[in-house]
Amino acid sequence: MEAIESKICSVPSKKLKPFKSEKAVESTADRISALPKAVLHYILSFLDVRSAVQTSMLSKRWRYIWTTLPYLNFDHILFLAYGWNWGGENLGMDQFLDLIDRVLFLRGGSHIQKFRLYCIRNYFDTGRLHTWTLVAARCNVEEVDIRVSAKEAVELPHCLYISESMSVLKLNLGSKRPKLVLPSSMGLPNLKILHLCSLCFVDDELTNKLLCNCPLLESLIIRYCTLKNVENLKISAPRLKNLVIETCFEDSEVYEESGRSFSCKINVSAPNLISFKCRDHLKREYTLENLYSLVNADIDMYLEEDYDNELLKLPHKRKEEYAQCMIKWLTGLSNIKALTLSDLLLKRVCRWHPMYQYGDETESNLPVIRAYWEAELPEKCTLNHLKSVEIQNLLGYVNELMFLKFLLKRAMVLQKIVINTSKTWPQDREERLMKFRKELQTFPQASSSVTILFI
Amino acid sequence: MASSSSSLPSPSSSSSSSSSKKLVLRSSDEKHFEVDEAVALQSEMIKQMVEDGFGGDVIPLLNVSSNILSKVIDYCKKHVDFDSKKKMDDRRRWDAEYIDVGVDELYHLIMAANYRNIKGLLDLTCQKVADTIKGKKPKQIRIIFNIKNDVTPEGEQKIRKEHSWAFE
Repeated sequence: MEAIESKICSVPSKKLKPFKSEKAVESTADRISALPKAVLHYILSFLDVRSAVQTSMLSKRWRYIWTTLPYLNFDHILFLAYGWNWGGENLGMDQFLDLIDRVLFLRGGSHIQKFRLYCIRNYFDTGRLHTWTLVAARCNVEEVDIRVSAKEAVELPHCLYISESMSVLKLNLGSKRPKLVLPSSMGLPNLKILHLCSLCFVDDELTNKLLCNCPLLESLIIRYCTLKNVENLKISAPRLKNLVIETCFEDSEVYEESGRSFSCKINVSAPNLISFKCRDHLKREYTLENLYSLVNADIDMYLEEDYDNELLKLPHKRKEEYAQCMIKWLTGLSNIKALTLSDLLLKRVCRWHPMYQYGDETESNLPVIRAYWEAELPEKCTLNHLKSVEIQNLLGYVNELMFLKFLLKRAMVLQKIVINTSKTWPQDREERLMKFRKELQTFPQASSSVTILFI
Repeated sequence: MASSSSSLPSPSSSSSSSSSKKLVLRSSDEKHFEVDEAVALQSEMIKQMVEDGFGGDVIPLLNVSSNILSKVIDYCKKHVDFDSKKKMDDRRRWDAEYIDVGVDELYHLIMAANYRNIKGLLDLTCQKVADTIKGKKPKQIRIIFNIKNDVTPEGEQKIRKEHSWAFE
């Protein structure tokens, strides 16, 4: 038996490189067991909990190492990869849930630094989640990272929302986006990172309580969430540095004459925000306040899906509205130093008007469009800090030109514009590009040194 | 500095062409290493010492021998470069080659990374041990790491029974 085992061992696993054989022969001392307990715990933190528990078989030294392990990584995929070959629909779910119960029960009350639970392939009773997170909260958990597929509303214990030890909270409840039931009082004095993905907020007041009662919050991500009965989403965080709001859904979206309307408004007030990424419907109302420190903004807004490829058919009134939304965005971001406008925003924005391709336009169109951009902006509106602009997928439309004109005229300290031209330009690409560049050179520039790069 | 493949760097011969600030580190076997401050500051411990005003003197590293220190410095140097270039693929490739060492050396690297508090190196080395343990039976793990089995067969049976939910 021993011989067979060692033979298995000498066959290098495909994934892992074995240790250099000559050196392995050289050394006879048990080096790994001599490592301090904290380091052994750290090594086990890279494994799923079951593999960690299995090390109790190695020797007396290893017998109880796992029981004080502060990093608990329950990963269903790893559980399946390194163990049973449970077939069928259940995919070893009963055994996996049983393992979590037993580990939390047997390890006792020693400190939990990180509680990570990934189980996305199967649904399970979310009531268990309540119990597990309760245990974690009682062990003064610092990081909670839960990614599950839940069908029903998820309610986590109250003590988790008032935890003084927690610094990281990441919740992802799966593609059904179930409700997250919040308690009436919340406050996480040490929370620095909050990621809320694929879940449904159901209450105005409570959602805002959660978002505004984390004084040390530095990173906030709200992604693929449903906003149900939420009229105002308020994000007010004095230390927030990084904010991502991506693709929020509404429970009932109202289609009016002027297109889709959104009941939820989003208000952001973050004086220390450095980086802001936003992908949402252009018509959702955003109020941006106190963004004094903003350096990077990545704005990627979308319009009605129906009109995605046929923007020319978009009713005129709606085009007007979208144009105003965009100008509001630009005004709200007037302090930024670097702006990334996705191809989406600019390409589509540029088609708001009955677009004429550059070669097709006649003199009479031009003043109208020019007047349009200028009329919308008050004279005093300038971009005082903008230094770098990158534009993706430029198509050579006249409104792109007008947008650049606007930037050149209003950005006082602009240094660089990088333009990535679209690969889908028609045959006369070179000629048109030259014409585009030539025209660009004639525009007045507010900044004394602007470099324009075409890529 | 000597590359990871050669044995020992000649002490204090490692000054690079740049004129940035240097720190001198002394290994447990009394060899001196002159390194750029940015490289040495990858170690949280040394960073703390510099902040506390010990930067001007020779910094003694009592638990780290010269051959391990030389290898650790290799890592820190390379990662100062990587940090400025952000090439993740290169970094991964270099790391994989760097960590392809025997158990003894791995142990000393872990101890040095832990003692000098170099997070990147500690992650790399501990991940290597974890990857080796992953998916293997206790007997296999014992052989790879020379772990002496001091549990009686009866004791082993008992553990296996108690933890049947965690074993096959």
